[in-house]
Amino acid sequence: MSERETGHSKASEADPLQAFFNAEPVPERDVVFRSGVMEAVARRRLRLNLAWQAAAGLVLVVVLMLLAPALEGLLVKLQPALTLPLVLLFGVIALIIAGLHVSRHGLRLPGGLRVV
Amino acid sequence: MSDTPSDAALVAAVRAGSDAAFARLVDRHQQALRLFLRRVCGHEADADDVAQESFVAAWTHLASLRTPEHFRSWLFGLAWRKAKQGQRSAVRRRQRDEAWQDMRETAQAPRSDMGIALQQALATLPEDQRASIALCLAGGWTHAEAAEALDLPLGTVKSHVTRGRSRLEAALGVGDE
Repeated sequence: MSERETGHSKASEADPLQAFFNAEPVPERDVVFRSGVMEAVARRRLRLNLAWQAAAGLVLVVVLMLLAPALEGLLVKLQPALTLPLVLLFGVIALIIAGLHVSRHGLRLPGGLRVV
Repeated sequence: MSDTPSDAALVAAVRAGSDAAFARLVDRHQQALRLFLRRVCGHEADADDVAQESFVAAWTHLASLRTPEHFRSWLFGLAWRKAKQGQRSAVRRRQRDEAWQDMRETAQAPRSDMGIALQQALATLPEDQRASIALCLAGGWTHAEAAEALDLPLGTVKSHVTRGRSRLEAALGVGDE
């Protein structure tokens, strides 16, 4: 097992080719390389999250557009005085949902910053 | 008391959202992966770039890995496919970067003569043969493990290792004299 960890084959140390393969070792634990990988992973995660959020927003817009005729009819039936309270109500609901999301998952910003 | 989680356990932790688990996977496999890629790509910088891209691709597609205990083979398979794709455009890029590489090598520690000779000898081998040699002779993999990673028949890998060894020994002047 350790021969695999070092990248060199102990079983064939007598193999003349082994001296050539051992000529250029790579550090067993390369912190710089690992940091580069994790940074690239964080960037990939951010792009994927943004893509999902954009897709979700697009779906929401499409759904609202499809429901617009029904919503318009509903609003027309209601007393005009209720229009403003309804708008305020939906706005508050949207803020509550957004606030719950941020409080549970935090708000990830580019550069690895996170607002909790 | 052993505190070394298996690859399968780390994969499960990564799928649950653990970055620390993925960092451990990187630490565990980076050396062997980078050595393998240096031998098949021929250029240190190219190899490390492919290695990094391979780890990122592994993280992205981890949900598609059906057998977490075979993470290593799956990772090396990803890296091998990326290396083959990269080599098709590497020739053009290499012509452009050759002067920069010369400057870089003089600024850093020079490669050993044996390292240079090995790289030149490996470059004469077909890519599948080179990869089989890099895994089985240099990395200590079994033929079956290499066949799984490279997606080649077992008999083909054995043949590649045998023929590749003969060609390397002839090129490097070792073995039977």
